[in-house]
Amino acid sequence: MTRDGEGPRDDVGIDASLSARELIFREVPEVRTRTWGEPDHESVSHSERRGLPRPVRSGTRYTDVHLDYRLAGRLRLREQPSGPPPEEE
Amino acid sequence: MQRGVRDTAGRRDAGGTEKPKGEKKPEREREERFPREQRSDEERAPRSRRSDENGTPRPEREDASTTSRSQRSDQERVPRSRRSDEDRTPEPHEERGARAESSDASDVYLDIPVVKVDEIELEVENLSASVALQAEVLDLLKLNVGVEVELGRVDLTIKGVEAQALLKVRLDNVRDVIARVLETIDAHPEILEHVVEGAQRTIENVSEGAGQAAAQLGQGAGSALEETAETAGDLVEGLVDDGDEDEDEDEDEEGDENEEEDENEEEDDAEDAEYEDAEEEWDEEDEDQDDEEEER
Repeated sequence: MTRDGEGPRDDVGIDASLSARELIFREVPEVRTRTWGEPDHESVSHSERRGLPRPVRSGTRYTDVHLDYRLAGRLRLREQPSGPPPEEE
Repeated sequence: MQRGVRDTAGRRDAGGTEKPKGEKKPEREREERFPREQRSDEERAPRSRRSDENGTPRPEREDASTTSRSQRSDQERVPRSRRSDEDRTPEPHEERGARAESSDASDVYLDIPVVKVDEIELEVENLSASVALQAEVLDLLKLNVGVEVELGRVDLTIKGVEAQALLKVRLDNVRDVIARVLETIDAHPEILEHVVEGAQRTIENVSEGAGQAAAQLGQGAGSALEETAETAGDLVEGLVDDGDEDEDEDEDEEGDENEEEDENEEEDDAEDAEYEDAEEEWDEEDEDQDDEEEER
């Protein structure tokens, strides 16, 4: 799992870690990720795997598995000069 | 756990050890983050907490401007899982520092601590975890950011499991943005006039539109009532006229029926009279025959 302080500070994030002595997928899971932001955003996902190929196979016995996953997003704001809004015509 | 937050913050500030992205973590660090057989039951429950910049813990609560939700699977969703009791022994405070490090800068921190399970047979669908942040200041500022991870269908067997998950929200950036907006408003309060004018225009447009709609509705209702009344009047008049004509027709019909009855009675009387006349004739003929026989 990644640490706080890596790169830009993210506004939201999900971190997950998993270690297992043995892992067997009876079905290959479908993983979906989604990020959103307004007015604009940027996101980062990062994973570290050990003992777990990409993609995994159903019915295969994986041993000594370790997985770190991180998904984070942050607002991307345009720097605007401070001041009153322009007069409307 | 709260003490661990302070310990970790101090360690982080002093050491400043930031690991480049993608670099493999040393085994010692993983061991600290996944301290084996040193987690108390209290720390296994997911919780949300806030911490001040100086590390002073605050009561548990979620910020109003932040939404976070997660769907746990492990123990809650898997009926056939077995947790090992030996993994629940308490952990010394100094061992919690590395894990609590993740929470030191987070304003909202939903922690699903280390879960250790001997074996899980997991079969779930649509397992998802998401966290989002939303902030608005009048019509001047609208911020929204979020992330979501979703698993469509999961069917697996896993043994010797150690797992953890963290959902974090930092309000630093949003706070800075809002602070800048408020500073700008403070320096240029005429901004609010524009906002108020815009709101007033909106209200005026809405009220004007509502007034026109009401007027049109009134006109429409008045016209509809007038037409209804006229139609009703015509109908009533029509009904009245029809009623008079019907009465005349009824009288005529009754007269015709009486005439027919009279005619029938007259016919009957005539027939009766003819029959009586015939009988009289027959009687006279009989009398005449009787007289002739007597004469004979």
